[in-house]
Amino acid sequence: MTEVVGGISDASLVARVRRGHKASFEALVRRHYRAAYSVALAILENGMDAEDVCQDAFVKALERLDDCRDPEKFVAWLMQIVRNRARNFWDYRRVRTAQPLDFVNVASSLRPDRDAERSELRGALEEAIGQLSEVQREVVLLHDLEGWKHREIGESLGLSEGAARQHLFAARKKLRELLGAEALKEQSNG
Amino acid sequence: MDDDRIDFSALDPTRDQARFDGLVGSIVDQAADELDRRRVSNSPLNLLVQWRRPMLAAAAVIAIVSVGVLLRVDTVNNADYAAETAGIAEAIGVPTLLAQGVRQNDMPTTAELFDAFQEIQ
Repeated sequence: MTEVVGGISDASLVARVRRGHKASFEALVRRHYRAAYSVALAILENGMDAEDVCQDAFVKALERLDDCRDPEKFVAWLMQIVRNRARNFWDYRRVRTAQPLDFVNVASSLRPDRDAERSELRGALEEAIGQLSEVQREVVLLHDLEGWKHREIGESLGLSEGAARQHLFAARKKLRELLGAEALKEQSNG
Repeated sequence: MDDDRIDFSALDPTRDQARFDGLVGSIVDQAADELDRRRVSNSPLNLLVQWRRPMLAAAAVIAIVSVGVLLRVDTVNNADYAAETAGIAEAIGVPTLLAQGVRQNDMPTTAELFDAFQEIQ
């Protein structure tokens, strides 16, 4: 799961971030945000909560970066932090210092119709994935939202590649039953 | 199997670029203090200060070991030198009694000197 995008590997970025390089930290956040979000969403079943956990997890990861013994496997290490933070979310909520995401409301208010539609779709999807098991949610989101391969998902979750495939198959089947082919087609056009 | 991919784009946090930039910016802002701390603690001056104590400790250990080794080498050399000079003195015909006296820094008595010269003749 070693990421090399734009010629800079995760390990190189991690080395720079350890020295306090802001742009490298931002690059790591941009590169892995969606995977972190997928993992958090799989556990919390709520997009806004997942965003809060991601914010918290990236900052915690930075604070503990010296504990990342193998920077080549930064993603796996980061995902474990996201999982732990998501699971502790309810306890952590009272002390979190996340900035209120006011800019979200500002951006959304520019296109109210489209935002309402998207919000409806989000709600339907979140409700449907809530019917899956946690493993199924994580597998299907990492695969279909983030684009990870079965091997990468298996490594991250401690599963065999075959088991990851089976979870993905079962998750997709259940989502289609819950949402209906029509609904999914509608989303893909949206 | 990828053809069966579920379209989760409605859930994709990166879909709205402006919103995603805001999310990332918020995280980077929250991380600013820690990034500053890391930048300061990795400055050359700070690294020097951090290394000062272990370097001094290492220097002290090296000094102690060096003094020990030098003292030992000096002792061994003196013993070797004494044995070596005794052998040379006897080889060039200096009487053993005189050679021992010189090594031990003892002045021989007149009688001893007389005996020594008698021995040479």
